[in-house]
Amino acid sequence: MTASAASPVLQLTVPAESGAARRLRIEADRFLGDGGVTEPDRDRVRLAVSEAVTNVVLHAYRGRARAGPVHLLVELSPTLVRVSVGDEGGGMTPRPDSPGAGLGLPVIASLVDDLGVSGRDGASGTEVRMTFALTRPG
Amino acid sequence: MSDDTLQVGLRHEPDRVIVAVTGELDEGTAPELRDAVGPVTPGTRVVLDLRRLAFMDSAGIHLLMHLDVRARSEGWRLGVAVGTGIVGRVLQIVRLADRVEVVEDPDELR
Repeated sequence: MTASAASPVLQLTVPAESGAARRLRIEADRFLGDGGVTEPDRDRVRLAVSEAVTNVVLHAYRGRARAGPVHLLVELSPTLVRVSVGDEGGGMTPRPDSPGAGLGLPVIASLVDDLGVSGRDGASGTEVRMTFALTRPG
Repeated sequence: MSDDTLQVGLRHEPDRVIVAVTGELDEGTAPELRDAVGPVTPGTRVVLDLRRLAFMDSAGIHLLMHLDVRARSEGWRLGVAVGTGIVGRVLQIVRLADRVEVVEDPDELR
């Protein structure tokens, strides 16, 4: 993710535990509200953040005694919001016993203007990168 | 961090139960709502009133699908009332109305 020096950025890391999705979507929503982003755009972002973080909580550290971190990065530019949700887990693998509905990524895909899912550069884990074009640029 | 942000109220009417849900429905709180919907008499209409729900993600959809499966196997009828905000949008994204009755006013569901 590239960030110009003037772009406001929110960067948070929390344990990938129950409650992480709520905490991070609230922080992202507050950050964007402070930046003047209007509610319809904030709704898209907080829903997508919740889905991406929930995926990390449910899947990234499965089978480990202790949950690892989930990283959130939100960058606000005049016309775009860029969001990255990353983990340090074992990557995306098929899971027949999933506790979720398998709808997280489809829901995200319906909300974003651009979506990328990949391994993290030079590290273990997965990164979901989402771009939202603001419908009412600030 | 506490996830105790969900409130569930049950109102029993003749042949109908209204389940009013407020707060935020996500992976952390969905079990509370799942547990709140206890045994249901066959033939009963159960209306989930989500109009005052502030947030829902696909964990809520997963729960609604679970309740739909229960309703079909146990012989009761599930319906969902939503407003026009983020919750309605989530239901539209996954086209829940193809499977469950979705309305704006609980009184549409008898």
